[in-house]
Amino acid sequence: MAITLIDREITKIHVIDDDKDSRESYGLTVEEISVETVLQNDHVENVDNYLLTMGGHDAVVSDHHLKKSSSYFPENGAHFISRCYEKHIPSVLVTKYETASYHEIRPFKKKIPVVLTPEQFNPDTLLSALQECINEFKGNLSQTRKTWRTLIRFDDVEEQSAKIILPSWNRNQGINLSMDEIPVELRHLLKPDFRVYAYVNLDAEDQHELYFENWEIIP
Amino acid sequence: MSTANSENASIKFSTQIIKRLGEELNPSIDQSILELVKNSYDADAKKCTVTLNKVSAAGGTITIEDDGDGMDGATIKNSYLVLGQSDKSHDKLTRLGRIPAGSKGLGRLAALRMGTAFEMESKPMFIEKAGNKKNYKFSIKVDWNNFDNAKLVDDVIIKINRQKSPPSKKAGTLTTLRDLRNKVTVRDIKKVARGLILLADPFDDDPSSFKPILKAAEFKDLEKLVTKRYFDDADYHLAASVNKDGVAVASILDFRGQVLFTADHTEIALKRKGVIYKCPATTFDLWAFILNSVSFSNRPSTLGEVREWLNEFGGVHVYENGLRVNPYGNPGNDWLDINLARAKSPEERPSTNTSIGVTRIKDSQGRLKQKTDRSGFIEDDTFHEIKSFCQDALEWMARKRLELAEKKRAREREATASESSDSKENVQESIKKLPADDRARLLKVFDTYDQARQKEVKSLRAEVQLYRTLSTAGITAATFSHESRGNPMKVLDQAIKAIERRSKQELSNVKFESLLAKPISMVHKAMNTLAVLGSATLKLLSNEKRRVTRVEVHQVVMNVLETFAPYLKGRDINLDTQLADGSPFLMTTEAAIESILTNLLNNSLIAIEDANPRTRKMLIKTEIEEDVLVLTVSDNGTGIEGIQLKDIWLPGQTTSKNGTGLGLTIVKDAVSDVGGAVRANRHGDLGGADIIVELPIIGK
Repeated sequence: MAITLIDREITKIHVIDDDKDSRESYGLTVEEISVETVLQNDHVENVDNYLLTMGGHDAVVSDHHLKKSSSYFPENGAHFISRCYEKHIPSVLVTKYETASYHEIRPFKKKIPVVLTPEQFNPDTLLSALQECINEFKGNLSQTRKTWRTLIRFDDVEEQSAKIILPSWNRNQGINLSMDEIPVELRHLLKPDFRVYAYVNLDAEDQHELYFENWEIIP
Repeated sequence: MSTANSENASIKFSTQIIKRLGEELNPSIDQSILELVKNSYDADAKKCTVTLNKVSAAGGTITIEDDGDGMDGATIKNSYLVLGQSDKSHDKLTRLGRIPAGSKGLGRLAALRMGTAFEMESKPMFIEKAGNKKNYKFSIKVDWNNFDNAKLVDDVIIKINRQKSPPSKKAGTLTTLRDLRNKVTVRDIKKVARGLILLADPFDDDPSSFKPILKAAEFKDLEKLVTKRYFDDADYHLAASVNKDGVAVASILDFRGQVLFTADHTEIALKRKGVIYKCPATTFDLWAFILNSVSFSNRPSTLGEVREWLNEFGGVHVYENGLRVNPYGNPGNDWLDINLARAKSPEERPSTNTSIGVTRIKDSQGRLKQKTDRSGFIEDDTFHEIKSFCQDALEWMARKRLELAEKKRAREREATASESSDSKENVQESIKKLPADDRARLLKVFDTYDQARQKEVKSLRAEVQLYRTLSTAGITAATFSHESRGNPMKVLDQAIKAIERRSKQELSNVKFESLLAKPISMVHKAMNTLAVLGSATLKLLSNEKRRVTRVEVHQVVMNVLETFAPYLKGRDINLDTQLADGSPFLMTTEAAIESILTNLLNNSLIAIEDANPRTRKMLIKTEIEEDVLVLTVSDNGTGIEGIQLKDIWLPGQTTSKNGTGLGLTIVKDAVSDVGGAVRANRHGDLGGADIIVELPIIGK
């Protein structure tokens, strides 16, 4: 059993979720595509070794919160999917995408082309998400994923978080970033009205799709 | 017959290796300069002056001059110019008893490569006995271009010049880096200044210690700031140490230096069940500040200056054998996860903005290894043991401070009760001293007052109890909402969709429609309602909503209505929304406005359910009257009956069997907090109650 997406043949889709019932329910959807569904039932101790078991015909579907049940997986799904991306394994993150998760996912967002909510997850969205990954591996980023150098203004700064305004995206909407999302070398400089440049995917429709890279201090 | 042939060869290094080792090892200009300054420290210098000249563009010059022991020709040849081999072994102390800080000479190479050429001139302190070298100085000049043009490192010859030097000239070394490859920015200079100041433990009082100086204005400002020591303003000082056998002790001192608590090893190493720390002897001091204007009101230092000092030098710095190890304690470096611990349990814990600390490690055996690129220690077992020791000490301090806070709270509760009872007795005693007529009258008045007060106390206690119960119910509901929104909802959703897709595929359209379409649609509908119930609870709990900021009321109204929409639809409520033009806003929390509207919506829903009209109607209306936004929530429910209008705002007052009697109290409190007002009509245009909220706005 295999399907061909663009020019890549996919034979296996791995399903990763620390909850057995959820894993099986995602499996129901994956089964409807003509590929082998591999439910990751065993605990994974070492992600590097685990990735070595995958090849050029594998794809991955993973939940974000993988550490609720002890020792199922050593890192969260966003981190894992970004590692799959580095190895050019097409992968989809499926998560409810709540406020707390945005902050965890955003640092990896550059290497997560598609995040689906469980409600959005079906055979069609899965296939198109995998296709988008393969396109990105070829260097073809969709318009909403391309980054542009832009000005960022800090509106409010607290100990653990900061609210920023991206005037070239939406000058009226504040975006909350946790301190972990801001480069360490910038953190001590932050105060209201502090401005920096960064590369941001300004065509993203929703603020949760935004990601930031190459921050620069304005001299 | 065969003739055996052999040829000797050796490994040679291409000049490219100089580039690799130099530029790629030391990441930043401040770290590179610090490497050269550490060489001065190892040479037993007391003073070391760094001068930057015309560095705002590439091509500038940096000099580093010290009064250390200097080097003779042999040392330059056999040690200074030999890379990868260092005589700076940790167990061989310098003449002044310092433990050498530099290593392998690689850091020096990176620093010297900052320019396209460098010169080094050194006058040694101890001259060889032959005497003929007395009062000589030695110098070398290296032009890196010569390496770029040569093939092998050995091909470039470096001449060591010897020149006479007057006896009055003291020993020392002067290094000049010429024609810098990059410019040095103001930010870099500040980093160099900070690095130099912190290098030799400025928190220690030792006047004989090493004093590096940078000739730049930024240095003076920072130096002034670091010498102003605000340790006496700390509310708590944690002093912990672990000896060479791995046994820890600690104490907490108050701002007068009096010991509040002490702990032995067992108490500190509670989490690791008393196992000793396998690390070199280490001390850990942390000064924690309570930064608020009340605690600073009667102190000589101001809150602002202590904040600035902490902002610049706060964090936990690490000193190994007297010299600072980068980057621990740099801005943003929270190697002990102090902020994380505080985020998990905020009470009585310091953050990196409200504390300053020093970890001093005496590592004469070199058990800790620094990374070659000078970005801290290699994080091996020894490093982790030191980190655990510091974190355990912090944990112990947090436990003790929590104990203190709890005792204080208990004392305050007792004091308030006894103060109140003392006051009552005092009043009664005073009344007894009055003439008989006045006495009887006043006692009666006082009794009436006392009864009213007792009633008020009782009702406040009941209110607190009700709030506690509701908070617990809220927390439990949120936990369950979170859980049910998680996996069970996910499984239901995926499973029902799979059933739908598969049955559509297997059955004819007609059969699917007649057999399964309806029950599947019912499951979808029920799941939507469940999802709303869950998310409505969770959405109220977001931390960000409790931050005071500019809140656009209409936006919050729309968000709340969006959350409630499926629920209102499920209850057949015809909702009419009439919002005034514009975006009126005020400074408050989103949670406050949300809480006002959510409680009003809940109230209306209960009233409509109780009245059970044929058509269920609700109206949300806003009007702007100058600088006040009037928000009215009306419905066609039961209206306000069987209760005095003014009493509807009191806690626990409800005419519905499903109400808590707290909703309108919360509305009134939340509106008062923002300086607004509330009123109500028993029956409005829709037939049911109108609740009217006036919010003072600062813009529209």
